[in-house]
Amino acid sequence: MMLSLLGLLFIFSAFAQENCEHITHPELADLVNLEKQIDWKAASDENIKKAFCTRKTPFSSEEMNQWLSSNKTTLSMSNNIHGINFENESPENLESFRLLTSAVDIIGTPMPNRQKTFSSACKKVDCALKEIFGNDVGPQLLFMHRRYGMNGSHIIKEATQASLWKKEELDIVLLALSDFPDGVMPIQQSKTFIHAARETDNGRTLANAVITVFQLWNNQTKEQQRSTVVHELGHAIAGVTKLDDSPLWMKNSGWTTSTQIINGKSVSYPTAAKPETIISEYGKTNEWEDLAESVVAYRYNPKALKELSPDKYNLIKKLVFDNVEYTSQAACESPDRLSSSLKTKALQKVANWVPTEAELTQIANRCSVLAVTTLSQTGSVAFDSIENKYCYENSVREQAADFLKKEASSDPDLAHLAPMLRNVKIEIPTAILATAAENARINHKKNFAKQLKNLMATSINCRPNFYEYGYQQFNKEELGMDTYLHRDDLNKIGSKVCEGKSKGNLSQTIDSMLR
Amino acid sequence: MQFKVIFLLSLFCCYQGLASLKELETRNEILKSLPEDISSLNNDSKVSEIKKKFQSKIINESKNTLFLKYFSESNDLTIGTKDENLSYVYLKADQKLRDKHSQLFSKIYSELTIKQKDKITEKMNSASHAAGRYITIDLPEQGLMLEFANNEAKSLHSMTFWTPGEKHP
Repeated sequence: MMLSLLGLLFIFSAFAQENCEHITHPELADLVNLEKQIDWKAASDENIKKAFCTRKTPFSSEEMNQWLSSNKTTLSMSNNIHGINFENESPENLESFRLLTSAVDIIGTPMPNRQKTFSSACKKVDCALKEIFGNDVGPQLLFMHRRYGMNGSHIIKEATQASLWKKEELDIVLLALSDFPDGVMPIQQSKTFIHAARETDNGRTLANAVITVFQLWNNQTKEQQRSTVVHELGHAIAGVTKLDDSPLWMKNSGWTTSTQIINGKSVSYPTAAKPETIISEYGKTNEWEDLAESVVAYRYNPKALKELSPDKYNLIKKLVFDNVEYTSQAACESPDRLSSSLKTKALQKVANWVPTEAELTQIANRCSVLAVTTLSQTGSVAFDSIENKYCYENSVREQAADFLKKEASSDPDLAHLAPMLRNVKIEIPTAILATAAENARINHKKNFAKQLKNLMATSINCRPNFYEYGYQQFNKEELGMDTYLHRDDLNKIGSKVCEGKSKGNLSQTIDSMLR
Repeated sequence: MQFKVIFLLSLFCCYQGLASLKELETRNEILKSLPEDISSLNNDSKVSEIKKKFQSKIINESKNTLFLKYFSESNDLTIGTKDENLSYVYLKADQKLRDKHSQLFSKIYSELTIKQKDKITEKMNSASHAAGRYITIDLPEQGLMLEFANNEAKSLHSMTFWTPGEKHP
């Protein structure tokens, strides 16, 4: 008995040291204390199986289809994306298809030189994704992206970085995503969530914050796979809210982390003054792991976390789970959500909202990427097109969400919540929405023309061979967008402007392109 | 003839000066945004002087390192020393600095070489649990290393600076 316990301890401590590669943890010495209870994990398989309000079966295709069709606008569009001609498709599906098939580098910057074009007779996104990713995985990826903002496409990365997900793997990832309350996800428009290339495996890492899941994850039980995904999502949420290295979080276990630079690398030395308030041994690694483990415990083992550290429990309840608790079936089925009370206050302000000139500019600027892309592809842009109208209306909704953020910012603790409020839908009175969208369109047409003229006048010189290097000029925040990310489109527009410039002046040429 | 040589030499010097200014553009921009007592630190700064200057803010020290609470958080500033002189300064950005440099990432990233970008990719792709939280941009020729949050905002997390042209600390 004693021997097997020692053996177990040896395995755990070896695993710990390999997982926490850059730090040595004095706390791990505790593992040799046989009297101490070993809780390497924040929740056991049993906890996860018995947790309240968890889905027990994977999403079926019918369920996914139903969600996709009931969560889209009535608008239909036709568009060619990466070689496929889509007809009468929803803008949400088109955007997801674009993001699931656009080559990007590790940080999400478009990589046009690696961009694939597809050959397909499909007219619908669902059909095209089935062709590209397979009949099961294609619809799963679309659902995962549309509902949770997680981009599981392996083809947008280099072959050495990612591999095609398997259906059974995505079943578990989707179950883990469903363990967060509706509205917490998406945390960003398109967050990478890939399975590493199958041959990439160091035998010690389950997953990382990119988010990449490694082959070792496949060796876990289904329950632990699910909780590993929740752990990584805890990191991802903390990356957006900056909660896990804030004094608000760190004070709970008395975390202090000092940093030194050694051989060109920053090396951190975290210490917890109150390790007894940390839910698992792995959580003792540093304040980030403490939070990710606490998120797992909050979801699957809430009583343990509440007992150990009521302050952490309450913080995670408020700033990660939108006040939804999982201590009983009744608690999670009828929660009193924090976002609902913020929404009520925001709606009162929206009821009499007349957007200021500055707000109209912000609304309009969110549609500059669409205008630039259209202009580079077709040589002209109509600000009153269906696509633009849709964009302005969505942008008005996004602007209205700022009322929520302002409500949240009134409380210093809630300031961490502000980035998470992106999914709360603010219903804007129809008349206010229509007027704001129309005024934004007028504002956009006027300002876009002015700014594009300035940008082109300062960035292009129309000399032969200029375009080989011209993109270097597009590296600033202009037109309300990051011009570097869209330098290829701007280069194409520059080329068109130069063609026209030879016949007239720059200003007239640009005016003739904008309708 | 002599005038021509002097003229060409001055042109060359001007060009070199402008080039090195351009090379240190990011470093200068960053240092300009820091409080003067931090930005004025350089490899001539003696440890004794540094200790005196930051006396009230030093919370801990170990061999060759001073840990400070400069803004509002413990250990938000680390000063590394070597042979009684400054070696490097590590600073965790506070909200004010993050806001000031909100566009810094896209500006720097756009100017990186393919080799530098590959290095970032390699680091982010490493099969380690810690990978992916921050994007580290190393600019050794400027004596500068920056960490940015790997989220949509790509906000500045920390900066480390040392004497340009000298080896990594």
